[in-house]
Amino acid sequence: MHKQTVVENYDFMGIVRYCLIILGIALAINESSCVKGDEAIGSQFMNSDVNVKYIDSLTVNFSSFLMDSIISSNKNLALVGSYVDPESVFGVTQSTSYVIFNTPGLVSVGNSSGLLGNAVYDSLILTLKYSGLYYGDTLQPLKFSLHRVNQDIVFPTSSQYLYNTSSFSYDADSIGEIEILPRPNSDQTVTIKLAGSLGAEFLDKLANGSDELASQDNFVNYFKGIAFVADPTNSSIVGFNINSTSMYMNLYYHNEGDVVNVSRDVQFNPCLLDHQFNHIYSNRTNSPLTKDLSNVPTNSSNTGNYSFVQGGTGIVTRVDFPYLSSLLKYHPNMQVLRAVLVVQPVVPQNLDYLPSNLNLYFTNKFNDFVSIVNDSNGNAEGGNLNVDGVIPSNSTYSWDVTTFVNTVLGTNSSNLNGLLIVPNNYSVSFDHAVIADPLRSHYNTKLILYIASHE
Amino acid sequence: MNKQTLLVVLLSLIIGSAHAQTFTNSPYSYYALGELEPSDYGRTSGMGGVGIGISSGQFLNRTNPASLSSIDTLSFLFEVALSAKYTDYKTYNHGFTATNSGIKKLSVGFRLNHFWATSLGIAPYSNVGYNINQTGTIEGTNQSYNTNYKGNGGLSQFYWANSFRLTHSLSVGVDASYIFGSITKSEEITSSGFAGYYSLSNNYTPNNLYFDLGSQYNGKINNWDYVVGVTGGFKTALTTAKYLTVETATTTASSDIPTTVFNQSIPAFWGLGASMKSKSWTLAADYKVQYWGSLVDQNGQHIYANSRKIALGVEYLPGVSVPRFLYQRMVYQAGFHYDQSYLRLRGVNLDGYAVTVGVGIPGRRERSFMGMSFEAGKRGSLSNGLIRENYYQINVSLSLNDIWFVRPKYQ
Repeated sequence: MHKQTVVENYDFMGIVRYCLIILGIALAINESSCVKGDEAIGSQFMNSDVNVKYIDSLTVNFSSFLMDSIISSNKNLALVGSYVDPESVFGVTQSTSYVIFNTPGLVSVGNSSGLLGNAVYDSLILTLKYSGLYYGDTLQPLKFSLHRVNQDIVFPTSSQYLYNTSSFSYDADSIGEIEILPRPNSDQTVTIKLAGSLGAEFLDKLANGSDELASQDNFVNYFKGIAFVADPTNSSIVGFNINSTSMYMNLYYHNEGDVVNVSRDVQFNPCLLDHQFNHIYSNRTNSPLTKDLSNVPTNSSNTGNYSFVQGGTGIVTRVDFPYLSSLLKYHPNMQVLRAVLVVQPVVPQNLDYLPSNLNLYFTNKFNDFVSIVNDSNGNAEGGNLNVDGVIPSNSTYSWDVTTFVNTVLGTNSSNLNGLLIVPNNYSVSFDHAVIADPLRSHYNTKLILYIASHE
Repeated sequence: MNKQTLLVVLLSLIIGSAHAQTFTNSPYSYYALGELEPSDYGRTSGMGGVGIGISSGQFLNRTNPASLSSIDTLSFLFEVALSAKYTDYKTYNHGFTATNSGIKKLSVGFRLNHFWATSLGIAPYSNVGYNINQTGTIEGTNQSYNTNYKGNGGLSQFYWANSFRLTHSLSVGVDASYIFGSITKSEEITSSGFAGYYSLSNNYTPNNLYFDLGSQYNGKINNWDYVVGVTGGFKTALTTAKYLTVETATTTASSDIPTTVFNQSIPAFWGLGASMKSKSWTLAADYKVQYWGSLVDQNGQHIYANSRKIALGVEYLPGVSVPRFLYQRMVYQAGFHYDQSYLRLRGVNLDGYAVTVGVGIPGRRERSFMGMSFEAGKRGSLSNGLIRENYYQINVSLSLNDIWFVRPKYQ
């Protein structure tokens, strides 16, 4: 026998072992790759294929329109008063509030029913508390009267709301009136003595256990509510809270048989709060810029290159970008990195009269409020007034509209094609502003785009 | 799992892990096909990477395909090379460091008959790996933004080298390879002021067959064996498809069909090398020129210059007749190479040089061999705002001979 080294059979396990060793080394050193330091090195060699551009010359169209109606019910707020726009743009704005009261009930009245026959009427007092909301000049007195509503306050057919345009008839004669110097930010209460005839009528029905006071339905049917009516010569509109601790009507009386004269009372609280609403209307016949506003947008070129917003009455500014999609034609593969809509208002003599913020909504060709415009973090864009401390008249509102612009550019089928500007809480606010459109010189209204594209 | 399957899986894993690695973080890899692999990473790494005039024998020398002729008839060589590199990238006032490692070669070689020897393998051809931030300001505004440039990927090659012995002294060789791979160069625009981002990504897939040729002549003068070698290759165009992807915060636009297809060329080259070998000493030198200067880059810019490489190396084998210790059986190497780079940026050639030292450790069975070398070098320049790279590199190559794989048969 002798050893022979003729290639006969490869040592298979030897190859496998060898492969495993290599693989192990390879995987081990693979982990060790690392970089430390300044990665700006080499930037001097890099040539970008991406164009990043600033564009602020894109056409932006402004127009104004009047909303058909604004839901004004169930706001728990009685807006009472009127004001005349000192800038003569918005005319006279008035608000009448309607509040329904509940019966005090029959059972809880008096110490015992036997005494009621001797009850003597003292007074009927309505107490109001300020909500803090006001508009106009509260240094001037506010005068308003209260009227008994003589028509059932009901929703329009197939609606669950009442609107700024809704109204119901009330007695011409008032059941009370008052002139106050409003203190809207105070805790003070406003008390109004109501007509003795009404108070006596209430007490009589109470003493007799009248059915009309037996239930809410019966009472509301009998006493349909109170309208808070201000004449158009006021200088402010003031808000009062509507709830049982802020607004109530007390019927004061005493019993004749009492040895010691004890003042007794029953309280009427607001009810059917979803039927409470504010009727808001304005008279712009002497305001040339805004008198012809309708529910069809009027281009700013027809209104002195201004557009308008006003809460309460529902004057809305619509913004359109007719040539936005042509950007795609000139900048292939384009992406809007950031888009900002800057709007410069005409600053009134008192900067405080400008709304502290304006809201922005997506809209479609029907001028619907589709949804509020969010910033890139998904929060509603504030649209705060950026006050220019040096030159107050250069103060502007601005919104990040990147999402909007990319939505319009990204989806051809989108029916979103514009933006609406309205004051925050436009249903209960009388904030208003006059916006200069981009064609007005000395104003800075524009759409700013930062775009990236690759050609 | 049968044996063949297991082997295929293991080899695929090795090749896969080799292919996945990026061996550079150099901003210069932004250019051309990336940073070209400078050498063979084989047994001669410690000798400055010489090889044109070196015959293979007990290892696989890819620098000149004609060198395979000297593989022994019974040999079946299996060779792997690994490398790890630490690089200090510097400009005048900034810097970063990077450590990279990877498999550099995986090959087998054997003799088919008395005149034909062959070798098959896979090796990286080029590497792209940069990550660079650039800040800019939008014209007409004070809005700044950041551009992040990233490159990764690289080219690999499957090669099949063949050597034919024409006479006792003269061999010719041809190395046929398929160069392929994928390079992605992207840039992404971001800014703290931007809601969106914009990312542009170009994916390139150059590929083509590539051939280079070589010849070696060996002879003897006095006690010195000498080898003279010559190599060369023609200009070859790599068909390069470019795929563009634009990705933004809201959309991604990419195409399955290439946006453009163009040729990215590898220029012609020639090289000359020689070595002399006595019982203990081997001296070798290489010179190689590649005509990059004839090319312009894809954007029509002249950023290339002809590249030249000069390499010198020496190897010493103590040659003790009855070695008692391992060090007496080891070989010791030293070398130097000077490289005129194919890149010429801002009027400056990105030249470099390096010194190398190495040892070769024989396996327990004579014909297996492990080479370890250390290389310290520099490339580039600080002038004109360029980058200078100082690097320190360790290479390990394993040449395993048939003994490992052959089960002796007793009769």
